[in-house]
Amino acid sequence: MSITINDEEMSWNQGMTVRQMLDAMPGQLHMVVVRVNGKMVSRHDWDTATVPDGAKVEVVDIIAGG
Amino acid sequence: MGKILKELSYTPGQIDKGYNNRTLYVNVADNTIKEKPVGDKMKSTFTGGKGFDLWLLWNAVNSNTKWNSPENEICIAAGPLGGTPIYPGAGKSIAVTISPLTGIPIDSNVGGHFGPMLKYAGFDAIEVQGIAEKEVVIFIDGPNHKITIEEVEGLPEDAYSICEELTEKYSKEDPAKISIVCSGTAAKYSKMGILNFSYWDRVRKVIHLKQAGRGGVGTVFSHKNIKAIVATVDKMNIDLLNPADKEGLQAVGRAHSKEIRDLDPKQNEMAVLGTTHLVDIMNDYDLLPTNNYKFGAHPKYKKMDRDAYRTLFHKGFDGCWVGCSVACAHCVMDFELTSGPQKGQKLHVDGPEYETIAGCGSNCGIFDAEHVIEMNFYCDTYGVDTISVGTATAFLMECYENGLITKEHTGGMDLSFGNKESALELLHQMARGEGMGHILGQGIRYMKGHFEKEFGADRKFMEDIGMEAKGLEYSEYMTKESLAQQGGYGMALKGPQHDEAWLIFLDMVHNFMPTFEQKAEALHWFPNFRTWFALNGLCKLPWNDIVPTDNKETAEPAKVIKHVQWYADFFQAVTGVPTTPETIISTSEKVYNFQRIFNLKMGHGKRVDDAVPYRSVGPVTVEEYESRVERYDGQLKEKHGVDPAGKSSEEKVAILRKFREEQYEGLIDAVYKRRGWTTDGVPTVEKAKELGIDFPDVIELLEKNQ
Repeated sequence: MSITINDEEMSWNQGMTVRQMLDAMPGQLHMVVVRVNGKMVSRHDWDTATVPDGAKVEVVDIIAGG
Repeated sequence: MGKILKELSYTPGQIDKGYNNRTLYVNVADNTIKEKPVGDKMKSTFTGGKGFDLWLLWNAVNSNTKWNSPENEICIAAGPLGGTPIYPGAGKSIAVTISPLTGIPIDSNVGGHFGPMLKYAGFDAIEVQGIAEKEVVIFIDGPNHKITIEEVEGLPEDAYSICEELTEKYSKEDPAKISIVCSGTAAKYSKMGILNFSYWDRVRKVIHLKQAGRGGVGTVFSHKNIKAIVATVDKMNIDLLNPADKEGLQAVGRAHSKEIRDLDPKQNEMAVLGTTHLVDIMNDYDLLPTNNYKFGAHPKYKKMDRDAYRTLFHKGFDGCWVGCSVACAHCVMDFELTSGPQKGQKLHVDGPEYETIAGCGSNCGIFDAEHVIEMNFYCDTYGVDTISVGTATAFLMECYENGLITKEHTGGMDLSFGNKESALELLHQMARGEGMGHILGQGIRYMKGHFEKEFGADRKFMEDIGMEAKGLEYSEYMTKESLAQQGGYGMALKGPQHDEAWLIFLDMVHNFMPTFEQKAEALHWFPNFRTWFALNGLCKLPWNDIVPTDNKETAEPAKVIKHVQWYADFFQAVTGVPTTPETIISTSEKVYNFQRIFNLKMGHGKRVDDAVPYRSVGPVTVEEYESRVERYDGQLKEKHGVDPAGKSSEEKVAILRKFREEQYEGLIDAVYKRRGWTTDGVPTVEKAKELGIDFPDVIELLEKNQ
């Protein structure tokens, strides 16, 4: 039972929310965009949206724009 | 086509370490064509690109010069790194002129192949002066080392048609060897005219256009009676550039290209979606301008988000420069137009970028991907700026909804937010020089005066909601919750365009800069670093739109220091000049301050010119306040120590405004101090001397204004 975040494997728990997933990631994060299986998860939903087993997750540092 | 007015043969050039060491001067009034030398002082002070443009223009105009004065010039340059095939984003040109919207220099960074071709043809920049008696084409024939000014009759009015006809005329056998600069019919009637720069798509066999969009450079071009500037070359390659360190250049170019190819698919998919990926993000962070910047998000945003454009964009490579791995320029094939002179036609059209989606879409209350594509097409082919058109239309719509203008003034058009038919009709009117569209084309600053004088509209309200500064319409980001970005726009040298400073995420989202001094430091480093791209003929997207996987572990992730070092290596490999991340900033600072001083020469460039409309700072109306009441009430209580309980929304709007306007002034003080400027926003004499821009006329000007 695992997911991949930016191509790196991470263990997965039943009911894991996006927020819990981010908290478990190492290092200081500056990311603002999370995509689960290609779909962006609004930051307003990070506490409630769950990550399914086997999900392919992208956590992208957005410092650009402009 | 008409007669040749002047023809000049020139000695073939040889690029040496990024420079031809000469520029080209053309006067279309008296048909002068001549070369000008580029010396070491010019290179070390101004670098190239925008720096060269500004220096040439400075010497051409005086403090009384207006946009339509004969001595005003159009200057276009690539820069010493522009035209390097191996490096992503290295095919840019920078166009500079005295803007019809602002009265000060405008610089506009554009893709397409003209700047590189001008360089391979033998010139580091072109400056065009004078007003031609009849319409002319300037042709720089690189392979035959010849320049002509040719009188033209019967060329089409619109950009795509002009480029097709001139490609056929000058480079029929290989359309990849030509690039054309032209405007379009609406540039004649508006002050927001653009220059289109062409390049050939070998796979689809179509012409693409990229735009020098901001500030009305196309209006000046059209007023000069120039139909097109054309350059042709035989080839463009790394050997012809004669870089100081070819192997070093190849190494850094390959490294940056590879990283983009590896990481872009996992990050923002620029090669598939371009900048359209920003729509979702901006909406999520309440930053997507909606209904004239009243709001920052809308439930219908998905009708024009990244997935909407994913289905519309044609698949295939879409780089605006040879081999650029970002490849963010996209297009739609067989797109059927629903309005205007080409209604019903199915055409290849270039795809919109984020700014156009937000400006002509959400900011006008319109959420329709195909509408934005049509607006984008007509703006390009008519030769007007999608950002100014979008922001000015949004202003007009809010004026209409508030009864400042009525159907009596609009010729019966309903200009409510969301009315896409009216938005398109305004654009078509602009191209015909008729009706409300013609007024729109004069820009927000003009409209405010016109509506007050002619219709008795409330000037104060229009000053609050009219999103222009220095006369230029805002580009498409909400700044209400980012003080640093309010300053980034307000203190931008040419007016509120995001290419000088974009600090919203750092400031609002990450809160990396809690103090005025930290914001001021960011408003020193970032504008100077971003300026450097314009000095060198580069695109900024490869710098921070795709970032290294370990970037977040660096001391200052926002600077993407690994890439900054690569740019230093790139510059050193081409020019042979020892370069570090620190010298990049000190190099840019010369030109940055020179441009501020240029504004001063033109009667602007002081603190009063850095004022911003209150809509960019906070909620103007009760409707805006109440739409984010939790946020604003919370700020009043926690940040400013004011209990909102029992106060009316009108009272709370006024209290918040007082605090926010004080903060903006505090930021200006801190930024001017950091930049070495007086409290009135003028670089000091000492600063000019320190930077080596202490030319006698500069010092004379500064001494009068200390």
